Amino acid sequence: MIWAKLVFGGFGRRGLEALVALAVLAIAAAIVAGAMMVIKGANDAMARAEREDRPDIVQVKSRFNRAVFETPRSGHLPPLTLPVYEPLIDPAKLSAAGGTVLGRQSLLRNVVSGESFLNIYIFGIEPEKEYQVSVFSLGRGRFLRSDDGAVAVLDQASAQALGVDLGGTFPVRKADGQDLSLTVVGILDRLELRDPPPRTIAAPVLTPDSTYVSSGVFVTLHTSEEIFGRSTLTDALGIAPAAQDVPSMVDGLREAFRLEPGVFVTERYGQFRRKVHDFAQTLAHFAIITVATAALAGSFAANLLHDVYADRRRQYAMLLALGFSPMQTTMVGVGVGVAIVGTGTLVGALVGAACAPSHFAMPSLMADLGAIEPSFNSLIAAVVIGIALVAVALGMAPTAWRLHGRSIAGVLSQEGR
Amino acid sequence: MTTPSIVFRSVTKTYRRGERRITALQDVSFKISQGELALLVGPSGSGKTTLLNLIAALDRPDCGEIIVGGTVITGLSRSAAALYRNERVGFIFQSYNLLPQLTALENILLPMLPKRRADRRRAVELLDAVGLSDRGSHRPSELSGGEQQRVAIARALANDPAIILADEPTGNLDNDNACKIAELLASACRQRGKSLILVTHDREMIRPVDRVFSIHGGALTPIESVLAS
Repeated sequence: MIWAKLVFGGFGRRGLEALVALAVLAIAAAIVAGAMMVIKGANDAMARAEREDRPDIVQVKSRFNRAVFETPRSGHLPPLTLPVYEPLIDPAKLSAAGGTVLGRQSLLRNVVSGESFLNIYIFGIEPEKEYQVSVFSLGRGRFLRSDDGAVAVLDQASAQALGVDLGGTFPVRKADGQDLSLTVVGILDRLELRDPPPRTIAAPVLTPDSTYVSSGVFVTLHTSEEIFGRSTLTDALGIAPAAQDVPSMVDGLREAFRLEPGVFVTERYGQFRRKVHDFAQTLAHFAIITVATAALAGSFAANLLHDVYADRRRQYAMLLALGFSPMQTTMVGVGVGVAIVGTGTLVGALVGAACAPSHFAMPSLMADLGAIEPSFNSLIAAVVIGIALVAVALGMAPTAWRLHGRSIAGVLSQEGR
Repeated sequence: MTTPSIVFRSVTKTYRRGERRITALQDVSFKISQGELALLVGPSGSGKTTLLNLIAALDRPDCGEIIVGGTVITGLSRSAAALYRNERVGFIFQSYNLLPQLTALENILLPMLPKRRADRRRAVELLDAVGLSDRGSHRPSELSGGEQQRVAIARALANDPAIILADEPTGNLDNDNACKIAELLASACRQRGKSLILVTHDREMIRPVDRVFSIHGGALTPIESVLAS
């Protein structure tokens, strides 16, 4: 009880200043917590956009060339001329641009299915790398491995169209006219291929009305090379080490393929940067205002606490004179400061967290990124607590310096005047 | 021969006031034995309070040595000095220095807190000994000057220290109260066998005393040495 009175009692006329310090810190904590929650939500939105847009990926694709592939006659059906992607990309030139290169062969093949032909997209991929950029949700079986031979993973739509199931086989005509029998090792429930080719002909689809290919047969790159009889790629993805490395990577790729007009290099980094630039700038201003608010409120609270401590300086000197150790006296001082700022900060942070909207829209800037969701995390808690502790430290420092840097007799005689 | 309780050896203390250097104590040497009652008289600014502050380790001398109860206190760390003050010294200030938020009883209990041995019964006994048994729950603002100084005396005795230092304890009191307080202090110290150094302007305040020191311009002179009868 006496300890409690030592810590919390004897404010006198400085009690009001202690209350004002508490209120200032409560308001500051609410503003800072609220603003930081918005900033955190906005950063999450930008990270989400970056994750979805993948501005670090550069697409290299070859020109779409019709009338280069003719189907063989089968029964009563006439031969068909089908569009294919003419493979033009030399893998050796890709590596010159740096970053990680992910090669693909994306071709359309007609496959004999029962009494008819079926158009099927066949993708030769590098399984481990492709898994990092595209979404393959396996329903049954397993995904491809880089050392796989004549095996395929296909989505449900293609499997249904081909009439095959897990463990089943289907023939694919190779470039040399021989059939290659592919064994199904995995069936996909969901497929989101990163930068898929446009859908140009009737073929199985997993996503109805999609203008891009959403269904197909996946084999390893060396299997597709065997099928199509060439090692050049139809398209490839270059993954830059960081998004800001994309421009130099694009320059390198354009330089590498400058003599091949059929190869196109496209990047999304520029568009992404434009999309988030204003947003990031607004957030930076928001952050500056938050820091300024925190600094102003913290220094104001520290000043008020300084007055409170200065008024209690004689009391602390008396405790030292009565034989309280410097540590015990310091704890009595710290106790009152921490109680004041702790209460203010806790109340403010709780109010800030409770009143923050679940969705926060920044007008016009949010058009591309959507509404952000403010959220509280340990960093925000640490910042708010940090402001409070800095206020206590600054408020207490002059008193502590006088008490511990000078003789107790000196403090008692000076403060007694 | 009685054991010396307080020994000063060539102690000098100066203060800096702006550009000037003021000598509060100049080469002071003396001894006070355990259980002696000593008066320290002298005009304002002569160095009386400085001398008490040095004995209480509230300040440090520029040079010289102070030995209290066999311990050299001039080289103590701040923590050790705090422990020394708590265990061996009771200090009574002219302006009482009671904590306003605590009751009289709690003010007496205060010196017991650092060692976490708040003995409420002893505090009540001390309050009774200074004649304030019915004022224990009153705050300093509800007590008269004389009553506050009684509480301060009880507080100084709380940890049963060997030395009581009283810095003009009657300076803020009227004559009647001053005499009562001085008598109370002297008898409390005599009964408990404590050394008392009392700073005062009035050398007739307590009779009989063992020693009377006069201090002028920082120089200490023993002017009486009378054994208590």
